[in-house]
Amino acid sequence: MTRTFTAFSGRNLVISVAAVVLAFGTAALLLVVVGQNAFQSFGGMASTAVGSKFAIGTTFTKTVPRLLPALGIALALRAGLWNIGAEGQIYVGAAAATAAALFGPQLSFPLGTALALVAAMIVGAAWAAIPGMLRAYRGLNEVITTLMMVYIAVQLTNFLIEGPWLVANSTWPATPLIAVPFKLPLIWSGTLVNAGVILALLGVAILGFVVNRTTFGLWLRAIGGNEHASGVIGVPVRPMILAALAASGAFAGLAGGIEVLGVRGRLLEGFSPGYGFEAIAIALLGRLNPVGILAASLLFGALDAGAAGLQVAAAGTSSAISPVIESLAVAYLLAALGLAKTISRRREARSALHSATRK
Amino acid sequence: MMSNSELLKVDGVTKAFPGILANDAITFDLKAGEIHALLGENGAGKTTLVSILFGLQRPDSGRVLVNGTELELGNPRQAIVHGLGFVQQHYSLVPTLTVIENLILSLQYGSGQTLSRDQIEQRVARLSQRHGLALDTTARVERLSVSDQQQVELIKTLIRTPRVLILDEPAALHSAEEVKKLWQVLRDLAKQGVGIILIGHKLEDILAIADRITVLRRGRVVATVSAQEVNAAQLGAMMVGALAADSPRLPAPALETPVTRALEVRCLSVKGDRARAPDLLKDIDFSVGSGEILGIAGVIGSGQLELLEVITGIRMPSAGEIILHGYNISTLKIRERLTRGLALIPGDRHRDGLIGPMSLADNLALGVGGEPTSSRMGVLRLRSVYARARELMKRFGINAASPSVPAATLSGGNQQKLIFARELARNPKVILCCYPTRGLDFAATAAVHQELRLAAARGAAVIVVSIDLDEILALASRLIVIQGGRIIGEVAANEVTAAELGVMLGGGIAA
Repeated sequence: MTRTFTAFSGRNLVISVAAVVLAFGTAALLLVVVGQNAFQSFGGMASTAVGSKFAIGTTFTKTVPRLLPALGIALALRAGLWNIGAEGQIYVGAAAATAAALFGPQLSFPLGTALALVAAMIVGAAWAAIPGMLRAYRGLNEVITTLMMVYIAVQLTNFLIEGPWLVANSTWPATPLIAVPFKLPLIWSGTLVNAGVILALLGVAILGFVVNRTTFGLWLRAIGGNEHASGVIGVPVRPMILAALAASGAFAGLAGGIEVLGVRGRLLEGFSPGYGFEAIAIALLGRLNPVGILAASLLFGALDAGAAGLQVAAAGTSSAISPVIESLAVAYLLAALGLAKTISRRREARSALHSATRK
Repeated sequence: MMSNSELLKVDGVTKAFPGILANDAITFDLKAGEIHALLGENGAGKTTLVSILFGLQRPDSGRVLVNGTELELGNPRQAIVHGLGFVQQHYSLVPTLTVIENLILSLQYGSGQTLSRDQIEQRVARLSQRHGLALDTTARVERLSVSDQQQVELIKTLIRTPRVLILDEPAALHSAEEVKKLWQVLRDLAKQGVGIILIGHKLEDILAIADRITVLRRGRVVATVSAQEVNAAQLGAMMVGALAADSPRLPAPALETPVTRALEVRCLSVKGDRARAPDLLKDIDFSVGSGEILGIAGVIGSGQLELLEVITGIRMPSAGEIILHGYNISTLKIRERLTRGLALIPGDRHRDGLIGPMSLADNLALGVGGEPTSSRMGVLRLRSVYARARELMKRFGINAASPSVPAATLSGGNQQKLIFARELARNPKVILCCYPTRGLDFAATAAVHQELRLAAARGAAVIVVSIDLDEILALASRLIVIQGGRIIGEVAANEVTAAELGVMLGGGIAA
């Protein structure tokens, strides 16, 4: 059933891998142009991304906050909806987890964490449900509304951190540390990998299952394939649009919760450097396929982890080369997709003429 | 004032769209000073031909000659340079600007000539005077009546002094008086040597003005005739394809009194999409019985599509009730109506009928009523989904490599069978069917007709909207004729011929 999604379609894989390879090639060229040794630079990146057990752990930790929102974005995009606001949903999710941990009932370990994570998901979902409702029942373009909600979310959490939730005697804006029963435990000794990794992997499986094996997923894909026809056929289009964006927000909210409970241990201003936006690129690079998205977010996580090693290995090289590679990969991907579309459209036109004149 | 110089020649123009040959080796010519009408039902290929003349579409083969020079096709600028002027059916005016501003705007693009505002005003004044057009150039376009807006379009085109003037359905939406006035303007233009191509389907209007008439049907030229040599009935027959007006009638199914009223529509009205637009449907009243096939005939845009949309729930009525087997469904959601036994075979397969990128099996699983087999507690049972897909493919004769191929890759006929399979699998009580065989070849058409007859034989009430009168007459036992959103007549199918019906639809004598 819809092979393009479950199994890696050969063409999708080739296009994505080619885009990544080209991106690295172009980055190497850039490094040479500015007088750096490209091999040395990439070697430095590799050392802090995959060079040791600790490095691999860092890559994993940096993968999670990109992977979960990307899964959510892919879910919405299967219904043809662009959730550009995952960044904001991450922030409100993080705030909700923090609130549950600081002000909620003082539960013991697994329950406390579970409560905080569920709170993160619900609030993330609710945040995305607002644009969802506007799109479903008022026809407002979700690209604009989800994006606008980001700024509200970021400023809202900033307000909470600097205002009512500010820890006493702090030198920088942050909330108090979260108590241990609410935190996600580290699960790999010698690294900083927390249990959030497991949740993220579960997310991969859940997305694959929901999209391909449930009626919800069938309707989702139907709406993404042809929204108008879906309505005529009897798919409840409006509730589905709302649900798709809410589910998408839940994924991002969970990422925010994990970041607070597993990595930072408290809510900090600007804790997400744009994970939610990177996630859009990841969802596209992974071609909306859960496994593809996993691979793409591992790549982005590794590039992030590698940025630190780059500066050590090749003094004077800006760590900004990592985001450059990321952006180049997406640019190449979009170019390749555009090209592929043009080619297939020409082919279609030709075969249409053929079949029509044969009669 | 007919001269014999050939102004425009269309030579073997062919254009294919996926699944349909819109223009099949069209050949016709236009002489200077001639009014040449292109007549045909919607879907006959008139609009495609005109877009080709205008460079909006590039034909797959064929040539267009203007004054003996071959036109570079697929380039709208070329058409203008060669003196082709086009008054479209849907006016491309900016409503918030004044008449003169609109004219200035249009002249700034593609005309190749720069004119000052004064020059334009002078020309407009001259044109208006010459043709007796009374146009307030300072009025805002949104305040003008439809026929005044058309005058603006006409002047917009005339400012460029075209040698060939093409008008698409110029008489639509006009009162008889307005049409008369417009015809006078066109006659004047023709006297000055302008060649005019008139597109339409109102027989009486066309006969009143055209010198020659070319009839198109299913992308081909049926005939080019002199207007003096034909009457409305003959033209109607040519348009709908019953060339011999007294062709043997197909044995229509016996007209029995319906036992059960499957669907009743009471006093149904639908308001226009915009404020002040006329009602799309007004006081529609009819019923269909179980086992009956009811045909709805009418010129495109008479409200038949809206009627099906309202019954399905895609559009909401402003007044009236829809009763399905005694239950008022007029406020239910689409899905609930489908669950209660309604089925829609939409007119536009690609837009409304199926999800192109999804597999055949997925498309079938989407059908309302398939749930118990295809899913359990919201989880799909893939094996059952595929088994059911294979079974339905067999039952409805869908020819595809496997149930997992995308629906978009199927031929038009197989796509239509797929929609039939999805909608008829739940044994609906009422089947609404729009252009059921549009773009299908002979075999697929026969299969679709067979499927509808079988459904009726099983006790379903079937409503068929079609542009093909032969089709309606072959399928339906009773016909409703609809015009301007109102039912203007009802006849038993075995009491009329396609030709008579064609005249009726063309606004001729109502039976």
